[in-house]
Amino acid sequence: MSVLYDFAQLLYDSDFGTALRESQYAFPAVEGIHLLGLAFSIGLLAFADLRLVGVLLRDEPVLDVLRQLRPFILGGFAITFATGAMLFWALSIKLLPNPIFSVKLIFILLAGLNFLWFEFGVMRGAAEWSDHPVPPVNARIAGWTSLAFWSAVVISGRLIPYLG
Amino acid sequence: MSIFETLQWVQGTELGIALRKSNHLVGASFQFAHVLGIVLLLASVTLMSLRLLGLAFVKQAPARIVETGNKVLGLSLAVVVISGTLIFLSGPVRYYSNEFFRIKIVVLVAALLFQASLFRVVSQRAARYPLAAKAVAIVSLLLWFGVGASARMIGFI
Repeated sequence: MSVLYDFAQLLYDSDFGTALRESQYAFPAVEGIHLLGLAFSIGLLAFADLRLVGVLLRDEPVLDVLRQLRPFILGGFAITFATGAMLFWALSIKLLPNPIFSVKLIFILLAGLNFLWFEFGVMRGAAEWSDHPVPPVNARIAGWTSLAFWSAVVISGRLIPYLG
Repeated sequence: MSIFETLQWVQGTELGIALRKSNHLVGASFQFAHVLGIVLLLASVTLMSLRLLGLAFVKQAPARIVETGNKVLGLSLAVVVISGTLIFLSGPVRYYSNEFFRIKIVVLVAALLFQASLFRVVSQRAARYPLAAKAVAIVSLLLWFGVGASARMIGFI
């Protein structure tokens, strides 16, 4: 653990971390982009998930909805992760001991594992049911799981200042 | 009664006191609903704008995507406004004194009026007026993300 804390201290004390933490404009800007970027990453992903579980856009093929949204969702996640890494860089030693921060990382990991299962498991048979208004049960499970885990990520993120 | 006096009165009502003295978890759960609602609301605005700008779902009729986006926008707006009102009532004088809160309310009202008038009219006729549809998409994005940005700033001052 101490290696992790040593690394966090190194980030915290670095020029970039210090400058960002103490900046009057850059810090709120990065936090703002981290939050608003969620509209593209987790928000548009929610639309894809809601198609997958058969709630929205039921007459559009699942594969088409996913293909249309994919570049924007991936771009959104690039922004979310990049700004998140910057915030960690600036706040590392304050975030590391916060229990809810670890909870958030665990939910991100779980959401990522669910994505891998969906992408390399569930999606293999997608051509057969892409047109169905309500996809088969394993696809719906992947969709609801994604909605639940990413919501938990947002909620635990919002809780960080409460327990910090 | 001035706005400030009105807010002081609201703060002193039983609801105001109950919200202010409620458990931290109650306040936090309003925050969860509020932030999840914001993510979904901005995503629905983004979805509709991507279609109107011709960046996604070009094979689908614009009206079809706008209809889906509006459903989610309406639902998430209800969640955001209800949770936001409860958060506001927990400290109306404090929120009103915050410059970014007042900016946010002004931009929010502008976004709502725009969405219910020009955006509604033009987006339903997007196939006929593609250029006007692109314009309302950009204005809608700017207004709603402007609400989000000014909302985020409330906590920084």
